[in-house]
Parts: sequence; structure tokens; C-alpha cells
Amino acid sequence: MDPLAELKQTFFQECEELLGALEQKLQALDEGSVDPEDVNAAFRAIHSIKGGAGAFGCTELVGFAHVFEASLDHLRSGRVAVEDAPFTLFLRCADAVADLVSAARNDEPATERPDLLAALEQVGKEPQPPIAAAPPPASDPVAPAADNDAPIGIAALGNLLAMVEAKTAAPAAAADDGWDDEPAAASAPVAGKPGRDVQLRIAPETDLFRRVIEPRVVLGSLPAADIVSIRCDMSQVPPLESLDVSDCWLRFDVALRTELSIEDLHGRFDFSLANEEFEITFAEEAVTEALPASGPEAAEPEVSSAVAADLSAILAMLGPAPEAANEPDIKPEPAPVAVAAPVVVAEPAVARAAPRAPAAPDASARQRQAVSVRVDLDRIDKLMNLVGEIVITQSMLVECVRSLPYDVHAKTAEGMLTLSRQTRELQDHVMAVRAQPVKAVFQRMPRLVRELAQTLGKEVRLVLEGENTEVDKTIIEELADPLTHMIRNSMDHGLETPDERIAAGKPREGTIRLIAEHRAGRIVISVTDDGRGIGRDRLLAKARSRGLVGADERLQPEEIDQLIFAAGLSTAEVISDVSGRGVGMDVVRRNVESLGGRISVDSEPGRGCKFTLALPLTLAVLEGMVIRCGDDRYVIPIASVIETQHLASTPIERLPFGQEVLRWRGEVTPLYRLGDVMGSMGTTNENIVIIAETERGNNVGIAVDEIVGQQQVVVKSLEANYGAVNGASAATILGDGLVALILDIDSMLRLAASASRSPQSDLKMAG
Amino acid sequence: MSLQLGEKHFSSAQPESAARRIVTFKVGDRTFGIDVGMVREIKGWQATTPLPHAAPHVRGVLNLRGVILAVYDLRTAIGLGATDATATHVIVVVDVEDKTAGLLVDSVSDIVDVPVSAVRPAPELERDEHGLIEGLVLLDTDIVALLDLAAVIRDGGAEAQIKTSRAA
Repeated sequence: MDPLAELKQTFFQECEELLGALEQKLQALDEGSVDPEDVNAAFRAIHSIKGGAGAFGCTELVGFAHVFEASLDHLRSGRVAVEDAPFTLFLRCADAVADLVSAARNDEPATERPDLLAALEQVGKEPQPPIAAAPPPASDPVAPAADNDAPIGIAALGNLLAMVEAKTAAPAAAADDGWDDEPAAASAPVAGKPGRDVQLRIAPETDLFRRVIEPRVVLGSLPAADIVSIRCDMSQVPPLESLDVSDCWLRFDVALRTELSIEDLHGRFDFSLANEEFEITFAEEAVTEALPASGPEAAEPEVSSAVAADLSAILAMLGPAPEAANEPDIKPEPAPVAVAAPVVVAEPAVARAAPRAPAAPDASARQRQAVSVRVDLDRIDKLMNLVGEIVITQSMLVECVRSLPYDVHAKTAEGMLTLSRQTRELQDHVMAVRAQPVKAVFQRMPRLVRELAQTLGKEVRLVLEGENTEVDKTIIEELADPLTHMIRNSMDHGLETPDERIAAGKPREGTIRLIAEHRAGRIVISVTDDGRGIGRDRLLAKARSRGLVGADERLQPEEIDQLIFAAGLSTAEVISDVSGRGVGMDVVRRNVESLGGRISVDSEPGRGCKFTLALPLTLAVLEGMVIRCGDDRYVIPIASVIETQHLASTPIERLPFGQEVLRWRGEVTPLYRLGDVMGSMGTTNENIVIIAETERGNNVGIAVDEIVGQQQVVVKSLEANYGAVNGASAATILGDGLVALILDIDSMLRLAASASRSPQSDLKMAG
Repeated sequence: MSLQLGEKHFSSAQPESAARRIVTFKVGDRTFGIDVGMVREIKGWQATTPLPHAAPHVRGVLNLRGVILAVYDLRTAIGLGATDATATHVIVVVDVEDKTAGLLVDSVSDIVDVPVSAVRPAPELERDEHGLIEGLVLLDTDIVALLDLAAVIRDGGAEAQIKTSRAA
């Protein structure tokens, strides 16, 4: 991939984060936060997007973001009180920005949003500068020099590039383009000024920064009033991947009209540059001087003209990367900051040029950025696979060593123990690298709810809980689709319209709770609404008419609810474009199950409905108990095991319809014989019972022959080369190289139930 | 011990005229064949882990260098009962569609080039209800039945399980 495309991709990735932050802050403000930092953060986010968009020529995005930013600025400056601000509009605008970003990302034509633009223009008393003037991207995206407070990244680089471009393209006209608040002085009257035209080429050695000198100091030693133009030549800057940020590759071409003599000029660089690092050319005489300098130090230059404002702005742009200078090695892609990085600390010049800078930089955000690393998922996957192989090899070794004579065994025992601990730690750490909070998915949901609420004419409050629950990256990716479907379903079928709700004695506004938590070694995500619940009569009637349920068949209310996951059932009276084509929940169920997860529904008529999605925390490894039954070995996830005991010590009773139960801690617990359920080969002599927990929190007893041991197993997909196996979620390879199935308690119970029931009522597992 | 059949051995030698290179193998006295391109490797019999309530010809799963794949007993698939697998039996590891699978056969016989024109459509066999046979090739000594591997494997997958669990 060429470097620019790579940068662009990084920019879009950052955009996603920025959009998330924007939405989150707006949401917080909408819900009554008056923290000025929230306003600032929202402003910075949109500002950074705009800056980056400008650098990559996304004109529509820049245009929209510009107006949006201007409106937010009214909040920041206090011209519009936070309490009065139209956050609903802002949130919709944030959605529009997200659309524009994705359009730009996919190279699709962007949708114009004149309605939103017009509404934004109305925010604040003073009329906004009309964006309709649509200046070309190179000159418009110039941002307030507040960039030194924006998250340093591609977006900031975009700002820098855009600014340098703007400055160099039109130095005289640049002062009034909005990115600094210096009074727009008249263009420097170069022609009438006395003195000679001098060309200055400043080409410092790459070790400039290591000499603790920066371009700002060098350029600042020239009398600002004499400077006609400054051009920064970045052509020497090497590709980002090979750039050492402590090298200076910047070259400057300065045009002066000055009365200073050549000696004076030399004198001004005397303390900062070696003679061969600059070149002075007089326009008329075209003579290159290289005399040793001897002049005295120059007085503090005056900063007053428009050109000087340019200078200070450029300097400000060069300044804002102290973080990068502190931690230049940590980011694997120093790309965003590289160009600006070498300059050390922002100085008063910055303050002058950046009067609109947000007051309090988000220190913690900076901290996070400085220590985080973007790594290609592929690399982590390779690492993960390798660790998986090591784990198998390690357990194989342990078995080998056990069969050795005692004295050899004893000598190696300690080493083997250490090895196994280290392997496990290694695995945990690699897993931790892949873990991510579910926030990444959750934060897409508010928008979905907002848009749906509008489409459906419903009033909905979305409550998110447990956003910081961490799961493996592989699971995160799989969450978005089912969650979207579940929320759609709740909004469309579950929640009533405001009028219906009032008639039913409920508050106008419906509530949807999206909750994530860890339970029994799984991540459990529930979507709860307080709507009307599942219309069982209608659902059942529909299922009957489709022949999914026999006409004379009696179903329990819970069984009827499960029909919602049957293929081709939709009970919505009006087929909407939101949901209602009947391709929703059955597809969700199938996808979830293929991941070794499960989805269930609990409904209470008139009170609401709760979808529960349970997924493994990772698709990669699990802690398992290896058991034997007949000739076959199985792995039970340790997370599901509550207790093991001898079957003889527990009285078994038989219920009238044949189900065996045992008393366990005073509760009647159903007992299943693994050999029967899984059809194990060989004779079984089940004398151990494992008490296990199901997803719904019920306990069951599972009778097995023997507990072989406990170990961490690498999860291997059965679906990849075969298909779903009832009763098992996946398989693993044991130390002897043979395959063992990883049991899935819930799926096993359904298998047991299906074996004892009539085929028709087997619908929910077979359909 | 396994015999690797890499493409490098054969694809470059592929004759220009329309011909198919077929790997033939035996189950009992019958000869079957599949395109050599589908064969990934051939290995000796190795114990498999049975799958609960799978179709009868699904022998179980095995570990092939960290990948888990299902082994299908061709003898069962063609209705001749289960193979009593011993060390002399052979698993032909094949790529079918996007999956890798093992085919348990008695022995691998040969690799032959067959002109496409020599492949005859399979007669409508009453017993071949699953359409396992794609075509027939007459060799000097044998009739080779070309297998439609997708059909062999499809019947062992999840769909068949539902069929069997429904019937149960």
C-alpha cells in the first residue's frame, strides 16, 4: 500500500474513535452534563476530523464539519448556553458526519444535508460565515491553531499539511482565513519597503534537534517585519516508516526585503546554524556570500505584520508535539506526529496564534495515546496460534515425562511445572492483548436507536451498562450484528407508540437497557425493553399457519416465546423497513450458535421482553476438565462446573416420566448420563457426577466414568471443516494428539431433550 | 507416514488436450476415483473421535497437524456397512468446496489420465439416492466410479444431523 493510502486509512480509523468520542460527549451534554471539558472534547473531535479531511481532500466532509464546528464553538465561547443548545440537532449532525466519513472512506458520493446545515447556521445569534462559499479544501480546512490541544494524530498532521500548504500558497491572504484571530493586517507593502530582496535558503543538518535548536528559533532570529514569505520544503522528509523523529529534514526558503547587511544576517544565525547550513542570495547581485559572521545579537524582532502572523502560526504548528517528543519510540506508526515532532515545546508564539485553544488539555487522553500501539490483528492471530501450539506441545510433554522412570521424572518435574506456568502466563497475556471493551460495539447503538425512534415515531431512552466489559477481539466483531437485530426487534415489535404507552399506564418514553456482564466464563449481553412483550397468540397462530406447530399441539408459554427464533416468522402487522420481514431473529440465532453462543428470550406480556445473548469470552482457549465416558474423552469448560462428587453418595430418584433427578444442596437437580446423551462407545460405569451450571443459572448433574484431569485447551472449530455438532461447542486436541469434543451443557441438554420428545416439539433446535 | 501429492508433481505435466488426472482407490472390489487436484494428501489410518448422533458414514474427527477434520467412511456411504479400520487402511485427505475432509478407503491404487470424452454420465442407479457418483470411466480392467465428493460430504454435515435427530 502506498504511504498516502496508509495514512488515509489510519485517518479513517481515527475518525471512528473521534466520532465515538463526539457522540459520547454530545450524549453526556444532552443528558445534562455542564462540564466545559465535554464541550471542548466534542469540539476537538470534530475539529480533528475536519483537519484530517482537508488534508485528504474530502471536500464535503470538510464543509459540513466546518459549519458544525462553528456551531459548537458558540457553546465553547459561551455565546450559546449549554442548557439551551440543540443537542438533538448536534447528535443528528454527528450521525451525518459519520455518514460523510464512511462515504469518503468508500469513495462514494456524499449525501448533501442542506437541512442540517441550515439548522446549524441558526445556532448562535450571529450569522455564521456561509460555507456555501466552499473554498477549495487546501485553503479552507485550516483550523484554529488550537490544534495543539487536539489529539495528536493523522488529523493533526492533516491540519499541519493544510496549513503549510495554505501558508505557502498564499502567505499574504492567509491571515484572514479564520485560523488565527490576529487582526488581519494589510498585506505587507513589500514593494514600497526600502531595502534589498534577499533569498535565504536554510538547510540545517539533520542533527539540528539534537543540538537543541529548532526551526522556530532560527526563523525567529530574523526581523519579522522584513520577511516577505517563508516556504517550508518538506521534500527531504523520508517516508514515515523510515523517519527518525529526532532528525530534522525540514528546509526553509525565506524571502526577505531588508536593509540588513550580509554580515548582519550572518550574525543572526551565528548562534544557531553553521555556515554551510544556510545560503544567502541577493536578488540583484546573485552573489552567494559565505563570510564568517561577526555581528552582534539582534534585538527581539517585532511581530506585527500579516507575514509575522503567518510566521507565528507556522511556528505554532511546529510546536504542538511535545508528547511526541517525549515518547517518540512508543507509537509504531509515528506517522501522524513525525513531521511536527522534533520541535520541542510550544512557546508564547503559540498562545498568540491560538487564542481559541481549549483551556484544559485532556491529559489522560494524551497519556493513553502515548502508550497505545496499533497492531495488525493478523500478527496477534499468528502469535495466538503459535501459543496454542505451544500449549498442546507442553501438555504432550507433561504426559511423556510422566511415563519416565521416577528418578528422571523427579528431576524434570520442577522444570515442567515452571514451563506450564509460563506457558499459561504467556497465553493469558496474548489473550489480554486481544481483549477489548464491548464499548466499541455499544457506542454504535445510540445512533441506531435515535434513527429508529424517528422512523418509528417512538420515544426511547437507551441505557447502556457494563460497557467496559472486556471480551476477545474475535467476539467483538461478531457482536454488532446480533445486537443491532435485537435492538431493532425490541424497538419495532416490543415498544409501543407513546399514545399506546400512556393508554397502558406506562411513561411515554420507552426504555431499552443494553447490559453486558461476565457470567460463567461467558459474556452475557441482554437487551431488555419495557414494551408489550411477545404477542403469544399471534405468534402461535402464525406458527400454526406455517405448519411449524401442529394444530392440536399444546405449547408452554415459554416454548411459544422461543418460536420467535424460528425461520420465517414475523408478527408485525405492518411490514416495515426496520424489521418485520421475518428474517431477523432466526438468522441471529444461527449466527450466534455458530460462534458457540446462545440466544434466548424471556417475555412477560404487557411488561416487556428480554433477549439474552451469551457468547464465549474468546474463541481461542478455555480452561477445561477432561473427563472420560466409555472409550471417549470429553472436555467440560471449567466455567460451567460447580462441583464434582461420587454418584454413590447422592441418592438418585426417578420422576414419573423417566427423568432421573438427584438431591443436591437441597434442590432437585436433573441427572443426565453423558454416555447416553452423547452415544459414547464402550461400556459405561458412571460413578462420578459433575454438577454443572447452564446459561440460565440452573444446575444439572452429568454422570461420567472418570475425571482425567484439568487443563487449558485450545479451541478448534468443528464448523470449519465439518459443521455444528449437537452437544459440543467445539473440539480440542489432547496431549496424545487425539481429538476431544468440548461439551456445551445447554446444547447437550437440548440434545437429551430432543431424544426424549416428539419430533414436532423439537422445533426450536431443528428449525 | 503420509504421501504428499503436491501440485508441483502433476499440474505442470497436465496434458494440453482435455484430460482429467484421476486418483483411483478401492473399497472392497470396487474402484472409485476423484480428480487429483482435490487430493491434499494420503495418510494411513488414524483413530478418530466419534461425533454424537452423526450420520452413519461420518466416522469421526481427527487432528491433522492442528486442524480438525471429519473422516467419512466411503464403504458406509455406498451402503456396504462400516469399515473395520486397520493400519493398512488409508485416509485420502481432500479439499471439497471450502472444507478439508478425510475419506476412509481400503487402499489407493493408481493415478491415471483419462480423456474427458471417456467419462460417461452415471446411469440412474436406484441405490445411489444421494447422487454420490458423478460419472463412470472404463479402464482396461476396471470401471472407475467418479465420486461427487461434495455429495459425500454434504450428507454428513449439519443438515443430515437434523434429519437423523428428527427421525429419532
